[in-house]
Order: sequence, then C-alpha cells, then structure tokens
Amino acid sequence: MNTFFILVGRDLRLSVRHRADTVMVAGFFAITVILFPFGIGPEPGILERVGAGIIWVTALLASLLSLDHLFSDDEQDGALDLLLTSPAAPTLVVAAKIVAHWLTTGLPLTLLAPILGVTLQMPVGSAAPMMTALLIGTPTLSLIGAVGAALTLGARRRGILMPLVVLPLYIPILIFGVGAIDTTSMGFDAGGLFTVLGGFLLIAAALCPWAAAAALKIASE
Amino acid sequence: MHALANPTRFLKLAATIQPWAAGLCILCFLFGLPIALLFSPPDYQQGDTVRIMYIHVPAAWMGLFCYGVMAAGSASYLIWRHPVANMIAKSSAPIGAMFTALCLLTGMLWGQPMWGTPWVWDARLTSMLVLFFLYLGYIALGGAFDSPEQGDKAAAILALVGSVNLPIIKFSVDWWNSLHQPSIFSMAGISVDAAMLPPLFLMVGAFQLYYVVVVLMSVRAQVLTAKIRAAKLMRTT
Amino acid sequence: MTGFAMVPAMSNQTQSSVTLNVSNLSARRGGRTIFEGLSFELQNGQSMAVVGPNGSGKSTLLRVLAGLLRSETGTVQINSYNTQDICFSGHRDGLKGALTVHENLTFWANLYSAAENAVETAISLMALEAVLDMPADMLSAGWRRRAGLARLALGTASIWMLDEPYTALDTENVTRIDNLLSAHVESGGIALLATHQAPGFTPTQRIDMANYRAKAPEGPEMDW
Repeated sequence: MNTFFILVGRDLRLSVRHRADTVMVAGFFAITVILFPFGIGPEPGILERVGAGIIWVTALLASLLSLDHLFSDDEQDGALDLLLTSPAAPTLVVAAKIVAHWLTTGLPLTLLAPILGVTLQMPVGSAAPMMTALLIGTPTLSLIGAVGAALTLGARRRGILMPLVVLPLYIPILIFGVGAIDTTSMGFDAGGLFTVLGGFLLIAAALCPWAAAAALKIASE
Repeated sequence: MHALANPTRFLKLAATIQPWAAGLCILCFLFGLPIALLFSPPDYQQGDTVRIMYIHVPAAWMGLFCYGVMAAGSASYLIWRHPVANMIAKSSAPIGAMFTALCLLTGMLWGQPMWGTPWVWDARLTSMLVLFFLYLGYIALGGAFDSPEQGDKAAAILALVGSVNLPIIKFSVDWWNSLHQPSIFSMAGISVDAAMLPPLFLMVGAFQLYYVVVVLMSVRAQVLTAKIRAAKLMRTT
Repeated sequence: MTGFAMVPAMSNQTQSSVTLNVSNLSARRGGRTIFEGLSFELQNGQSMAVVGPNGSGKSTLLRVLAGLLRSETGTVQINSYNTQDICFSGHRDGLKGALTVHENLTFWANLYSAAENAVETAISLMALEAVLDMPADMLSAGWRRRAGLARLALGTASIWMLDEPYTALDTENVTRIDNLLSAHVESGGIALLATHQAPGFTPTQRIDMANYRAKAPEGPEMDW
C-alpha cells in the first residue's frame, strides 16, 4: 500500500507543478458546455431537457483529452522504463496513475458540473444526482481511458486514434450517467441506476489496470 | 488446434479447404438468393420488404461471429503467440466490419418503408452501430504503429477489452432504448414462418462460407508476405 | 499489494549470494533475430562489459535482462535477496523535469525502499549539492546524467544494468561512476555495462555481441 501512495504522491506533485494542465481541462469542459446554448438556442425547456446529456458528453471528452499524457510523459523521459523495472508491480503503477488522473481531472469536473448545470437552466435539485453520477462515473472513464492511453502509446496520430478506440467503450457510462440524472429530475427513484454505474466502476477497476499494464509492457518493448 | 499454429502446416490445410469452401459458397448463393428474393412467400404484414431480412439477419449474425473469432484469435495470439491466430483475427476484422455495415445498410433500407425513415435508434441497430465503431478502432489501432508486431499486440488487447465490453454495451443500449421509445415495430418482432427457414439457412451458409474463403485467402497472403519479409531481412543482415 | 519492508541494503550484500544466470538467450526485434545462443553466469562481485558494434544488440540484451523486452528463447534467472533485484539505467535518465533533483531522488529512494540516509549518501557520492533544488529541466546534459545515475547510489539493487552510463560525462564524473561501480562490485553486487568507451573500472567479464549474431539460414525460414 505504501508503494501505491508513493506513486500517487509523485503524480499529484507533478500535477501541482503543472497545474495549468488541470485548469486547461476544466476550462475546456466549461467552454464546450457553454457552446451548446449558442448552438441549440437559449430556450429554457430545451436546455433543461438536454442538460444532463451535454454535461456528460463534455465530461467524457474532457477526460479523454487529458488522458493523452497519462503515460506519454513518462515514456518520453524514460521514467516508464524505470518504473517497470522497479519493485512496484506494473498494475500498481498503472492503478496509481489512474487514481492521480481522476483526482486531477474527474474530481474537478464533478465539482464544476453543477455550476455549469445552472447555466443550462437545469433545476437546482439536479445538482445532487449530477454530482453523484459523475462521482461514480468519472473514475470509470479514467480506468477505461487508461487502457486506451496505454494501447495507443507510440502510435501515429494518437490524438485522433484515442477517441476512436476509447469513445465506443464509454457509451454505457454515458447512458446510465445521463439516465440517473434524468430519472431523478423526473421525480423517480434512480437508486438502481447508480448501482449499475457502481457496478461498471467495479468491473473496470478489476480489469482495466491489468489490461493497461499489459499494453504498457508491449509499448515499452 | 495448436498443430495449426505452424504456418506451413496451415498453408497446406488452407490450400485443401479453400476450393471446396468456395464451391459450396457459390452453390449456397445460387440456390439461396433466388429462393430468398423471388420464390419465398411474402410476409402478410410487411409484404416483399421481408426479403431484406434474408440479407440483414445473416449479415448481423456474421458481424457478431467475426468479432467472436477476432477475440478468440487475439487471445490465442497473446497467450500462445500463435502467428496464424493473429492473422485470422486480423483478417476477420475488415470482413466483420463489412458485414456489420451491410447489416446497418439493409436495416436502413428496411426502415424506410416500415418506419417511414431510414434510421431510428432501434436497440439492435444501435448496438450494431457501436460494434461497427469497435471494428474501426481495432483496424485503426492495428495499423497505427511503425512496428507491425506492436500494432498486432495492441489491437489484440483491444479486441479482448471490446469483447468484455460488448455485452455491457448491449445491455446498456437495450435499457436506454426501452426508456426512450417503446418501439412498436422493432426489428426483433418478426415471427418466422417455417417457409422462411430454408432460404434463411442457405443465406447464412453462403455468408459463412464466403467468410471462410476470404479469411483463408487473406491468411495465406499474410503468411507468404511474412516469409518474403523474413527472407529479405535475412539477406540484408 | 504488499508493502515493502525497509531493508538496509549495500552493507549486507555479502551475506547472501546473488546470481544472474542466462542460458541460450535469443531476442527478436522488428521481425529480426538480433542475437541468439547467448549464455553466461554472473555471481557476487562479478561484472561484465557488453561490447559490440552498433546494432549488435547491446541495448536489446540489457532490456531483455531487465524484463522490459520478452526474449524469444532461453531463460534469465535472477537470485537475489533484495526487494529490488535490478537497477536499470537506459539512454534516458527518467528525471521528471518539473521536480527538483532532490525530489526526483527522494521518489526513487522511497519506491526502492532505500535506507533513511540513502538520498544524502547518493547526493554526496555524485556531488550533486549545488543543483539539489533546481528543477531537473534546467540541468545541462552532464548534470542530468549525474542526477539520473545517482539512483544507483541509493544502494538498494543487487544487479546494475547500465546502458552507456558514461555518455555526456567529463573525466571527473567518469571517475565517480567508476568508483560507484567498484564499491558496488566489492560489496558483492553484480554490474553489467553496455559501452563503447573503455572504462577505468575493469569488469571481470566481457561479452562481444558480434559473436552471437543470428546466422542467416539457407533460403527463407520455413518454420518461424
């Protein structure tokens, strides 16, 4: 466990030094959400109806874009080789990087979402389910995205390839993430949907670190 | 199975199977297509539109089947490093993508008269659409590396990740669809008459045999290309 | 995951035997066999220079031994009592540019479960005092190399695998590395060096990769 915290601590310290990166992801999230009222028109009824979908799709893209340098920084300066030959298990290295990634992107997005929800004229009552859904859903995005980031390490045109590889895998989270918010807003009990989101998180947490570690080993060959 | 991992032995076997599979495939098409498109009885509700099903259903089945082969081949490549398993997986991808596209296209043709619009977000069609993108991702990833071996391995892992994800996607899309539109005319809701079965089976057989022929051709070409490449590399060093 | 106990290393390396056993090793890269039929054994206090012309597979061999690259055939057996068997150093130093030299070293010391004063020892051995609080980004190539190699002086690994360690170093610092290597080997460690330069430190063994080049077969390979 100790090793895990050492690894998370290093990545967190690095993101504090590169805090502009986190600000950029949050800024991307905010500006993209704000584009929709311009595209759809500011009528309250429509924005309110599609708000949850806009928040989730944009969170998906923001999370994806920030995954670009999850492993590539360490790969370029040689630190990845050293991490893989260190006593820490590769899955542990990957898991630590995923946790650090979520803390610096998923968590800020979750905190920012209700404010952006207000600009989309979503009811105040939707803030709580929105944050809960993002809190359970965004770690799964980081987990699946890490597999995509590891698989595309060293590939040409990585910026285009990664969305193509990762976005189809994000669809279930999008469906249930939006479903949970909308169901609660309509006054129904969405407990089951949050449980499904939690189930996705458990499955992803069990499988993704292994898949990403296997992909990293291939990339380092 | 492991004996076939040897490319040379596989080449011999493939050369024997291929003409037979090709002949049978042509026979299936020769009998299946006229029966399906001309001689089978029209549906009492859908009329002649139902004939699209004889292409659509086998194409959907092949789209899933190819993904299954791809995942199994990828697993066998990653675990036992069977080069032939990898080649089978790699050549199944474009064929599977093509069948999936054919399924989507015929689905749209069917939707125009039945729904009044070529595309509705029907649960099955939507799942097939996501499957199509999974194929695209696999093909793109496999070709995105300077070292072909690295591309093969990365794509193989993606195929496995995708095969775990596919049931989850199917489940999610089904739930999403039931929430948003209780469809009256789902593509699932066609009662199959006994008279429809022979042409359907003939078409499934034809598609399946077509797949076998094309995969064998593609794998043979890949084995030969690899041999040529190895020979060239040996000469330069 | 299991936590790693704090083991004081270096001092008691002589207590137990460390061996690196390589038999019939071959490796492929880019569809081509780089080397084949390579076997050797190293024990406590032995070291080896890996020499050979460019492209003969020096780096590939070290990466296979370090577990970064899968071998095609053969086995690599490492017997060691440490939590950390090997310390690998490649062409790139693995320093994080945004972290200071001290932070970089402390991270590796923690990850390797090094002894408490290991960082200070490493700093003084590599004479890094002047740049401790500088971000690694601002260092010149030579300083970077020194800061990167200071990882070795943390004293936790039994087997060192160094790929071109002398690159970018002046004579004074080449001597520093030589001293590190001598001390490591004398205390019972194993070291492998892939290098063009003839080091001041003389390894006990020497392997010429040119002797293990894959033989071209007659005609195309039929059974790969």
